[in-house]
Amino acid sequence: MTRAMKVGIAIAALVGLAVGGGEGIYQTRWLGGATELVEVISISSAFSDFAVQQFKHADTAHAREAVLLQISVLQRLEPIDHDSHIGCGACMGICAAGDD
Amino acid sequence: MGREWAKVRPSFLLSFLAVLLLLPVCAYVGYSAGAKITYAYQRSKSFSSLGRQNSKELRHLGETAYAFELSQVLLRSPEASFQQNISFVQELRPKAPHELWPIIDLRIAQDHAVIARLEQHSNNPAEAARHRQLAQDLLHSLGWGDVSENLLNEMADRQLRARFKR
Repeated sequence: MTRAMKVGIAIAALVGLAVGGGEGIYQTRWLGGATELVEVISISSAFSDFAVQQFKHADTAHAREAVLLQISVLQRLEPIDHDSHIGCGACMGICAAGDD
Repeated sequence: MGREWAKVRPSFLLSFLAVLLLLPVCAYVGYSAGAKITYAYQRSKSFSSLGRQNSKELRHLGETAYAFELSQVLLRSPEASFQQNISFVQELRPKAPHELWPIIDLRIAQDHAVIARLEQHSNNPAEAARHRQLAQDLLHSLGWGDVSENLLNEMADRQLRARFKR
């Protein structure tokens, strides 16, 4: 194998790594924002459903506790930076629209 | 020139084949590495607007709530799946943040109620009673006043209708 061929193979490997790496970064860059959004929805849905169930069936003290828990979790979620979702594509602009 | 080329040709072909093979393999390796590193970086930035400690706690809460919600969506066939789901959620419970414990308990109770209903339909009263008792104990601990068989059956039917569109 000549030196030129070795260089050709090395260049091919580098080009492959660069193109693949670039594509991987490009396709995954919105995924973190989307995951965060899905988690926010999961958290609020789990706590709201629980509060509704407790409100319907549990005694006053437990129902109150569930509603307070829901409120405290929603308050913790409130300051989330909505701007972080703009352009992530996952929320289809809902986050940005919510600020209007 | 012709002789020279004939000498070089096999190794040129070999190198060409190596390039053809190496290019997609390296592209795949690069793609996986790029995707994993980007995702890990993005995840580490999740909820970052809430401060370091808060974002860490919320990430944990979010991951657990997501796994918990997903476990309900992925149910396919009734009885075995509900049993598996209970095992999965029970394993999840000790690792979950404390705020989620009552929610997990309620879901386990609902799943026990569904299994009790299914056992009842398959003429297995002993198993049905066992699962009903487990559901009632959990619901009592959550402050539920009425944990009658009727209520549990109603709850189980609602769950089954919602999950399997019966």
